[in-house]
Amino acid sequence: MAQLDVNRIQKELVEIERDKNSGVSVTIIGGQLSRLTGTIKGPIGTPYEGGIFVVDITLTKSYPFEPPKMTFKTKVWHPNVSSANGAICLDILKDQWSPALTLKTALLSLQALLSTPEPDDPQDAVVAQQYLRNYQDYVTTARNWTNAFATGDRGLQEKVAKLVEMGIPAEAAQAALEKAGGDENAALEVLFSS
Amino acid sequence: MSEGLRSRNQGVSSEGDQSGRRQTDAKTGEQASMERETAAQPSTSGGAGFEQGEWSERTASANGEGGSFECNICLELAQDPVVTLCGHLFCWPCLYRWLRLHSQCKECPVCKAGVSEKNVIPLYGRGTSGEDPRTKPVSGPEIPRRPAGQRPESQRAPQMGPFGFMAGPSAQFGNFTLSAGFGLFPSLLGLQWQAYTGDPMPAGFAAPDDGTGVAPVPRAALTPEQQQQAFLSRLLVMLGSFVLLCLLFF
Repeated sequence: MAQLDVNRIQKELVEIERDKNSGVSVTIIGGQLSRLTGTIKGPIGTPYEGGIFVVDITLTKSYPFEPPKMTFKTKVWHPNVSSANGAICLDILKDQWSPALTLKTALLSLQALLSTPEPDDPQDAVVAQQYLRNYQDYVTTARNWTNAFATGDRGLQEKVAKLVEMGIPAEAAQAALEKAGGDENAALEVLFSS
Repeated sequence: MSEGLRSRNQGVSSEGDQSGRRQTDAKTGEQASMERETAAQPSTSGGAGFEQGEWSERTASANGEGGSFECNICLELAQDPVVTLCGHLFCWPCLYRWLRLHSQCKECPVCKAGVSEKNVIPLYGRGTSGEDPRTKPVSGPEIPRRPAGQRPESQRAPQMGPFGFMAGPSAQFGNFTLSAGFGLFPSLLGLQWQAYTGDPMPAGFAAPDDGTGVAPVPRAALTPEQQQQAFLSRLLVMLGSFVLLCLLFF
């Protein structure tokens, strides 16, 4: 069959790179254009606010005629995302895909999905039930998951690095951060009070 | 001063980079005039050559950013371009692959309007060879020749409208008269022709004004009753003239 459309994928990457305000980014894994990692920012005003969600992207050789395969690598509490494996239920990633869509528009659609869940067409039935029956619990759980998983290792490492710069040993900094629930200032207080 | 510069600049651009000008024309008039305005400024210091360089550079960058002529599927400058009835541009091989192999209900990738392989319009740019796209190496399935363009007849071409029997072929009928004795026949023939030929133009097209002073009326404007009446009156005239001829000759 056809080869991977390298030109198109590179053009898309350049375009995403150029528009930094879109809130999405894509990076290549291991020099292969068929395996990519996307990130989206949690939409403001939702339980996902403040989180950075990593999306695993696999492109088939028929891309862009076939949709990219996308799954959430970051754990998300959302009616249309499997809380177990990150599988996404979104029409444009299935039968509503069109070759005029791009990785950027697909990621932006995921971002939109985070702000407007569709509990009537669920991927994760448990989350969908909770969303419909006990919305406040859903919001709390989703926010907790965002804080626990989506502020990410990267966030933690950055914070550790900051504390290390202040002259605190890395191990102590990490322990303090964990104790303080990821909050830098609280971690500092923990460190200096001890 | 600036008025003069602008007009000079327009002159240069029309002689010079034609493709560049066409690209600019494709944009909205407002944008184009704004560009002309700005392009006129450097011409105070530079010559015509400099101006041309400015132009091609400007239009190239505008095209790169706007991407007005990029295929919506491969994102490259469209090869063998076709445009759908909804106005979206694609390479023919790209659109064909989508419609044939991957699309479930044959929709435009951009707006999801219905698209068939037959109703797309090919775009023929200047200087493109009439090369058969099938001869080009295309990976994947065999891509057939893109559909040909449609050619509705020009409205300006001299045509026989339904009421134009004073001009064109009917005038030739007039010249065809052999002698004065048969002076009645030409109009008769004209009438017959008038009555039995089909409408050469699609309904809704106005007949060309043939200078007879009769306002051109599209055939579609006539009600069936009127048509019937006209037919009957013609039949009556024919019968009358036939009786007249019989009286004259026998």
